[in-house]
Amino acid sequence: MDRRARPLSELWPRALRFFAIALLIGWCVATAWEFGRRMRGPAGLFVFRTPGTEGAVGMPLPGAHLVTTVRAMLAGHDDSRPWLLVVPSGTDPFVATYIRYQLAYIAYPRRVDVATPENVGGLGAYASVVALPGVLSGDEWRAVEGRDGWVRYERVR
Amino acid sequence: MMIAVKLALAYVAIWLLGALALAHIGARGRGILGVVADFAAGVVLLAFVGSIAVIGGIRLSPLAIYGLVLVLGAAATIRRRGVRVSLELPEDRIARLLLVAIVLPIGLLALSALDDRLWWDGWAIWVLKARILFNEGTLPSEYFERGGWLAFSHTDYPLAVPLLNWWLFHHVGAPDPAVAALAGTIWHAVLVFTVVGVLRDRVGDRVAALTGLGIACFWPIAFFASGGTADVVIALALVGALWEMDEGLASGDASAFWRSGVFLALGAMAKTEGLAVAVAVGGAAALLAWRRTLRPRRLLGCALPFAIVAPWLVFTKALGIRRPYFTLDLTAAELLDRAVLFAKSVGTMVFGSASWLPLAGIIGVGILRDRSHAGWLALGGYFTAIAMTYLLTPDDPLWLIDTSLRRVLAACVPAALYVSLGGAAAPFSPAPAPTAVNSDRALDRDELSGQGRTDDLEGSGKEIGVVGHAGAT
Repeated sequence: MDRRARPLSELWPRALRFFAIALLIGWCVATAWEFGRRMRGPAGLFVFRTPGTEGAVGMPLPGAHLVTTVRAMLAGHDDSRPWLLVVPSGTDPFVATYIRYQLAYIAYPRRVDVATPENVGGLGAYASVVALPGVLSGDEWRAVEGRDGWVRYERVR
Repeated sequence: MMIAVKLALAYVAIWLLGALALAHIGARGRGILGVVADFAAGVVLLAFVGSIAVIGGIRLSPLAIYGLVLVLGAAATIRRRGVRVSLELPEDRIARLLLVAIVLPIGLLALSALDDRLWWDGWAIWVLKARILFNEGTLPSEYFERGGWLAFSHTDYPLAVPLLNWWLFHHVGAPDPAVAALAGTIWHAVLVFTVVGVLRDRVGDRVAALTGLGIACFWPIAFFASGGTADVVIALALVGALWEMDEGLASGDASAFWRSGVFLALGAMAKTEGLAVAVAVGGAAALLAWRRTLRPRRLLGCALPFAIVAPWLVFTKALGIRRPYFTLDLTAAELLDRAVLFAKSVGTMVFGSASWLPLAGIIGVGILRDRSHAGWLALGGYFTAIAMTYLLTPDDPLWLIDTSLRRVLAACVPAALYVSLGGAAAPFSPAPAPTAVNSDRALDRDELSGQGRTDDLEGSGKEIGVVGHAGAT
């Protein structure tokens, strides 16, 4: 013990000391029990990821399936031009933000924008657009890859 | 194995950076707490230098940080300032056993961190920035633009955590999220051994080790830390700053206030809450020092967090990216509703969980004992600041409570335990009158007489000594 340290017994009245130490032991037991319980859970010792969400960064949240799909599409494309992901109308803004941040992390330094069909602007800057079938029409884009119900389009040269 | 060696090198370099800086200003501490203060100072320096580089648009390089270590090392050699470390293991067998037991939960968390277990805040606030820093060497303009494609969550937050992650990423050679998760667990381990250190000095090895074991297993700290959130850094800053503040108030030692300032600066450079910690602890220290007639210049260290974080605050303010944390656009009824919601949420959390309820009892006993006015004043001030953010938030208060209250309050737990068990267990004794036998010491006694920090005289021939410890009578 440090030369300046003083045991609790010298500083606290006897009854209060026993009460405090009993509480401390009780707290340690409770925290250890809860720690063990949570360690056995899906966010515990082994992080449980549902099939199809392995590509997400950190603990998967709603939207992780789409993140994993686009990640797989991104793999092997070294083109530095940005991509656009068009998520369905009415997508929860939280989920859209999650997907945008995740893809920004995964694809960085390549830019990946996320938009709904209503707020898609000009497509001129994008090398690829990932969307549900039928969202992108016209002669300018052609479907080049399909995965988990999503289609990647590339500009017709 | 090589990655472990590289990570160890990264941490040793940051520790050395801080140890050399503190050695130069004569503010190095002793034992495990001294090592932690060194590390905190290293992270603060890294964050300060890195922030200035980002503000100036200069690319960061790990070589520049190693250069800084070399310069400080060379200057220390010339000035004969050593950075020796002496650690003292407890002699008590039960305490040793408890310390070994602490390794188990920390080890399990470290193991699980290898699987990338980052929570939303971990990757969306901190690791994304670290990744940009890793690739670009700075934060580009797209990061600071409103609606910019790199404008992620909390763009106005200071950079201590992303810069430490950037440093670690460079050492392992990739922006691996698992490294950030592991860094969180290392922060947690540092916190645990800090709690052991501060209590060991106050109430002995067994109680200290038992409390450390509790903190090691306390899931709202442990899991969020390995999830990469920065609340564990706030917890460390709070308990470290409080302990050093107590030391400073007890002994009048300016170096303790400098170390307290280092911990406060660590918090302020980690999260916005850190500024509230700095105001609360610095305010309590100033008030108590004034009542005890300590010279104001001894408290200069408490101004450190504000000086360190000021450039970043000015920069983000000038860019207009600071997000509002408070609104006064509330009716009295809305405010009351929010107060009830906050109180109910805290009550449900504390009284509805086995891992919180005993804490309420320990803290309650500590408050009843009320021997550490400075500690309770600082903690009370910080809790008030926390409550205000929930009462006056411009966001939905229920959402804010759901997403943050548990970990924000958990960050107060180590400090609250320290003040309850240790700080509160330090009785003040009345000061004997100064004697003419030792007039130069009597000057220091005068400074300390308001708090009674003097040794008892055991005999007429004994010299009067100033005791730098709150527990000594």
